[in-house]
Amino acid sequence: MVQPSLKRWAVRKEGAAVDETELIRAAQRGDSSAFEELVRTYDQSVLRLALSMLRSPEDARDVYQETFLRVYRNLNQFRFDCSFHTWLYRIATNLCLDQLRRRKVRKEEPTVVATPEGSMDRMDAAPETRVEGDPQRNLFSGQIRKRVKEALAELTPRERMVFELRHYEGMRLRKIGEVLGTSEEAAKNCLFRATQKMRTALGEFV
Amino acid sequence: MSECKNIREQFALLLYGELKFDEEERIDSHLDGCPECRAALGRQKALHDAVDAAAVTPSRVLLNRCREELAELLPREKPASSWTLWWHQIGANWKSQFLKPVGAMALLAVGFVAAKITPGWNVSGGLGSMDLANFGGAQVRNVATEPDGRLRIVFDEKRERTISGSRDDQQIRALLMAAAKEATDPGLRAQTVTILVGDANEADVREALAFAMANDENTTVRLKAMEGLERYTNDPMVQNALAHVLLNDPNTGMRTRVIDALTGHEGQELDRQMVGALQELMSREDDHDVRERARQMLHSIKASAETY
Repeated sequence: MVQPSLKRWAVRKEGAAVDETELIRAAQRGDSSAFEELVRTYDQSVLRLALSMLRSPEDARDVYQETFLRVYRNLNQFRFDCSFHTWLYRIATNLCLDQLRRRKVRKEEPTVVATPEGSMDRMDAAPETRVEGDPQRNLFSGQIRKRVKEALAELTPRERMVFELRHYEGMRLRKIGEVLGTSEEAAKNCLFRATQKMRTALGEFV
Repeated sequence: MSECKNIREQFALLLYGELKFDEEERIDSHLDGCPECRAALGRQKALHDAVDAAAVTPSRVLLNRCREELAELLPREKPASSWTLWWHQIGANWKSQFLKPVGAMALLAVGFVAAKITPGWNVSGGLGSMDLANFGGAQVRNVATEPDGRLRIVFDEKRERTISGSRDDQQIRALLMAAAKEATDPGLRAQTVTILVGDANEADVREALAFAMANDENTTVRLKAMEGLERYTNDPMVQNALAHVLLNDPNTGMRTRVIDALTGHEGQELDRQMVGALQELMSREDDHDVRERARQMLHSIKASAETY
C-alpha cells in the first residue's frame, strides 16, 4: 500500500522487519521491547533536533527524556490519525519551542558558558563530526559555523523551528505544517522569512 | 529588475524543492536569459552549503546517556495498557457494556494461569483434593497471604451457560458484540459481525462494527463489518473508522471499498478528517486504481489532491 520511503519499518532483534504499525500496537499492549524499538528508531533524530534547536546538550537531554516519557504516557491515545513520526515530532517540537520561548523571556544564551580561559561555546567543545585536513578550510568553516549559529539565534522560535525541520531534518513543508499545527502555506511563509534573514546575516560569506 | 527580484526571492524554496512545477518552470526560463540571477542562485547554493556546515550531530556518548536515563525513568511511569487504543473513539455507552465481558475474560485468564502455575497446592473449603484440571475456568476474585504463609484464594467457578433470545435482547447483543471482538475463532467473529450488520441502525452496533472493520486481523470479518456500515457513511464515527481503514488497511480491496462507499451516496458530506485522509492517501498509496479513485473523490468535492 505504502511507498517504501514513506512506510517506516523497524528491525526486531531477531532480524525480521516489522511494520511500524504492528510495533506501535504491541507497545500499546504494554510490550516494552516494542516501545524500546520505537525509541531507538527515532531517538537519534529527536536528540539531533533538540540539540540543533537548543544548542545545549543538557537542554537537549531534558527534551529527549520528556518527549519519550510523554509518548509512553500517551501512547494509548495515539489513534493513527497521523503518522507516529508526525505525532512524535509534534511533542518534541513543542517542547523545544517552549524551551526557546522561556529562554527569550529569561534572555538566556545557554550555549555560551564561562570558563577559566574565557567564554566558550559548549557546542564548540563537542567533538567535530567531520574531519577536515586543511587548516585554512577549518578556520573558514569555523567562522561560518559561528555566524550560522548567530544567525539562527536571531530567528523567532517558529522561524527557527521551520528552518531546522526543513533544512536539517529534510521535512517537507506540508508535514512541517502538520507537526506545528499550522498550514503548509504558513510554514512556507515562515521558511521564506527565515531564509531571507539567513541570507542577510550570511551575505558576506557567500 | 522587479522580475529578477521576484525570481531571486524564490531561490530558497527552489533549492528546498518546495515550488510547484510551473513555478520552477518560470524560474528556469528566466535563468536561461539572466546571468545575474544565475550568479545569485549560485550564491544561494553556497549559503545552503554554509548552513549545512553548521549541522549538529549528537555524540554517541550523549545518545547513550539519554538512553540510559530514559531506561531508568520508564519503569517509574504508568505502563501502557491495551484497552484504550480505540476506546476514545468509541462511545462510552458501548464501552461500558463491552467491558463487562472483557473484564470477565481477564479474570478467567488470571484464574487459568493461577491454576497452571500452582501445581501441588492444597485446596481447602470443602473442595478437598480436587483435580487441578477443574480450575481451568476459575475466576479468581482475591489472593491473600495468611499469617502462616499459606495463600488464600477466593474464586468463582466457571460454568457454561446457554441463553437464547432475540437479536434486540440487550444481553444477547452484549454477548454478540463481545464475540465480534474477542472470539478467537475468525469464523465465529465473522458470523457474529454478520448478525450485527442487521442492527447497524443502532449506534452501539455501528461502534462494534467500526471496531471490527478497523481492527480485526481477518479480512473477511473487516469486509463484512464494512458492508454493514456502508449505509451510514454520514455518521462521523463511521467516517473516522473509514479514514483509519483507508490509511492503514493492508488490503487494497478494503481501501477501494472505502472510497466506493463514500462515492456511492448522493449528497455525501465528508468531514475534515476524511478529506485529510484522502489527501494523505494521495501521497502514500501505491495502487494506481485506489489513488485515482481518491483523486476523483477529492476533485468532486473541490478539495486539493496535490501531493508535495
